[in-house]
Amino acid sequence: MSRFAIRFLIVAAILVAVVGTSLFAVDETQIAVVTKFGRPIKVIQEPGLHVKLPSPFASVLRFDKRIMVYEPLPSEFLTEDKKNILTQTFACWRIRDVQKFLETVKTREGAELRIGDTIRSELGSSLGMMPLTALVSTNPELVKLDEIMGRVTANSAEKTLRNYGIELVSVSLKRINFPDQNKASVYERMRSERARIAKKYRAEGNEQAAMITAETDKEVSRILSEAYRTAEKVKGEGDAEAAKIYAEAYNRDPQFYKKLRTLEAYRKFLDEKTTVVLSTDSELLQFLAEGIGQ
Amino acid sequence: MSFGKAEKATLIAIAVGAVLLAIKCVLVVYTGSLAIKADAWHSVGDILISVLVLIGVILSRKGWRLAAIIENIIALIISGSIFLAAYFLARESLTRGSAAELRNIPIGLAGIVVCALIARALGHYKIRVGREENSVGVLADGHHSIMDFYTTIVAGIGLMGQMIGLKLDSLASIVVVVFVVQIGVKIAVIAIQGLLRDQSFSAVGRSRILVLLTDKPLKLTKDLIKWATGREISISFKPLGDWLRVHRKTPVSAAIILFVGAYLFSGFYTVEAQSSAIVTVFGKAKVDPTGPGLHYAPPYPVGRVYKVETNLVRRAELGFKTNFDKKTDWRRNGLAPFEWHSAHTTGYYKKNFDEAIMLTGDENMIDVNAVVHYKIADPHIFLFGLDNQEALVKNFAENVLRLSMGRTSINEILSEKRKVIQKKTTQLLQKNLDAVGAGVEIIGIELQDVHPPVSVVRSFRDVATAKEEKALTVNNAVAEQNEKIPQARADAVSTERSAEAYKDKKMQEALGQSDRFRLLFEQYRLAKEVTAHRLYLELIEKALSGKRKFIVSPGVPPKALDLRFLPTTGSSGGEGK
Repeated sequence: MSRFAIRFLIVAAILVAVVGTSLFAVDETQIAVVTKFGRPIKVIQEPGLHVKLPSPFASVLRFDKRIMVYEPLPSEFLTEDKKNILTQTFACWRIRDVQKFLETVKTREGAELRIGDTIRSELGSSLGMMPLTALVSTNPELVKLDEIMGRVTANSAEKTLRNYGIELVSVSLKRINFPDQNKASVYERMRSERARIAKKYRAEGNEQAAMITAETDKEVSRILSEAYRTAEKVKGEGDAEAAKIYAEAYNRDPQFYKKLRTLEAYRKFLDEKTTVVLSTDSELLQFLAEGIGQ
Repeated sequence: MSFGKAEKATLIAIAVGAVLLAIKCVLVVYTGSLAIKADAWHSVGDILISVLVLIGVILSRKGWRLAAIIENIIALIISGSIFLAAYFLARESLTRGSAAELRNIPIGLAGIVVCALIARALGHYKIRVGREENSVGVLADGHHSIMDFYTTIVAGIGLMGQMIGLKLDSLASIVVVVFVVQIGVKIAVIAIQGLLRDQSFSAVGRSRILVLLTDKPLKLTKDLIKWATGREISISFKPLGDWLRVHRKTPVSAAIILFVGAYLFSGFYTVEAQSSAIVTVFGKAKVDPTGPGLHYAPPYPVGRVYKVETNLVRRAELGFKTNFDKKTDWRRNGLAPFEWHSAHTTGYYKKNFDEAIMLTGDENMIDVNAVVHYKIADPHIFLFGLDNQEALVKNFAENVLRLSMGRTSINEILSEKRKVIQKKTTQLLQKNLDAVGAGVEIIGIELQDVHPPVSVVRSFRDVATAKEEKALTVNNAVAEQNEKIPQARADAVSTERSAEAYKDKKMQEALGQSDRFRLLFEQYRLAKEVTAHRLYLELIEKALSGKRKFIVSPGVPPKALDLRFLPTTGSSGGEGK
């Protein structure tokens, strides 16, 4: 009885071990490689339950087939117009040729290092030939970034697929900026630009104010001089009218007017200080000298 | 009165009950389950009853007269505190709702199984001793321990429900609370009867405990239903009991059946409203996601359930990270995060300058903060196609924002182009993510604070000041203009009016003088000689009066005269007619 039980147990354990190690599940996120004594013999893309030779004859290596996001370290380039540019890219990648991947890079870390190397070298050679305006510019025709990145992606993808069995789904620029050392001078320039604009506003203000003031002065002068002109004309009219009236009146007897006016003039100009020397021959003093009796 | 084995059994019951209570307390702390907490209180009640029985036996042995009263009063106090505990438990389970999260459910279940088995074993032991010693109290206590077994099972059911997503814990705890109340009622009834009859608690207990404590939960349920509906029903667990009796001798097969049942039961899962779930069998995913509700999947490790919150709007922050708690609330301390010059190095809103500082099309720099709102469009891709969806969304969002900023001048970004950028980048982001096959639905890129870098903010504000100053200067000039021109017009009018006055004066004078002349002339014409002479003399009178005069005879030699008085030719006096 107990002997039978021991036998039974041994057989059962062996059965469980054989069945347990020859069945394996492949997850939805995985690619499996079945190896026979370390040599890859079968690639399984389809998730689900699969069968292999039991251990230790065959074993399973699993790889993640999802799209991974990798961000290589930033790198600094000099553009064609000698400006330093700090760029950071990110790459979406997945395993395409798992056998090559297994042979050449093995792990995710190894793959990402190599992807970084490839992208950096492609990016450097592409950006070095370009002026900065090909990367950032307000003129959309000058910006060639899509083209550049398209080329970098195509070239890198071709290399990684050929060398490592990796499919590069996309390589995009995540960051493009001046290095920190240059940023300070850019800020300085931005400040000076703003100062320039501020100055312009202030000067424009002064300019417009001066124009308005000058216009005002001109207008004032015009108004005053026009008034002066009108005033002089009116005065002249007054003078003329008066002269006409005088002439009409006095023309009735110019002799009389002359006498009258002359006498009037005498009265006016013989003032207090005048000393009058009169001859006794004069008609006025005739009676004084000769007497009234004759 | 049998002392010895019965008392020993009571002592053992107290000790084991204390162990059970300790285990349950640990489980409460570990899982946070209310049902276990209620069950622990149930155990407290059990232990107290055993203690009272023991004390009663010992005291009555000493024959102390007052002992019975003291014993009953203690029993009343105990029942009061049990009611209080039941009240607090009920209130907690009714108000806690579904907010509570249970932890360490497998540990809790294991603990409950242990407790239930101990309670059952203890119950059977007490019943056996009670029968052997013919001790009514111990027998009743044993039946009560069996009831403890049931309440523990109820708590376990609550935990299992929680495991598959059903919120059963509160319900289970209420059921257990009912039994806790039942214990309180029993103790109170016995104590009151003891006081009325002047008997000791344990003496009453002898006759009454049997009836009261052997009330099975089934009978209670039947009574409740009868009270509520007025109908007598028969619930029978006879088939189950028969089955258990048959398999009593083969506990291994019972355990196996129990284990398999529990394992199959663990395949139930619930999906909440905002989620959908995908089931994989041996790693292979089913195509159709399951929606909200209760579902079944093959249990682990054959099947696995992945729940994804597909309706949830997720957000990825660009350029900053929010971290909200009381400590970082800007209303309490520090600078408001939306001010351009706040540096955002700590607190609620923490900047990531590497992310935020972007290059603009005119080679300036700008500080951009944005949030991407997105949803999972395809749970398959989210679960099995991407390593890190959030990183993907964030990186592509930064990419499109930088591209967009790189083609726009800083002034446009700060003013009129903002809306356009938001719209364009949203479209571009969706396009780029679709190209990679990200399975994401972008709801929108929302630009938050967009402003110049902190160190140039002051210069930007100075431009605004300069604009204001310009307007001020111009306004002042216009004000002066508004003052001077009316003044000039006033002056002009005054000049013109005075000229007119002059003209008028001249003319009036002329008219007056001419009138005077005319009138004089009329008279003169009538008597020319006389009038002329009169006028002449009148005028000469006026003209010469008061003046210094020298009257010289022609015979006086000119030399006699002072040179000062030499008459000039033709100016010596008037020449009358």
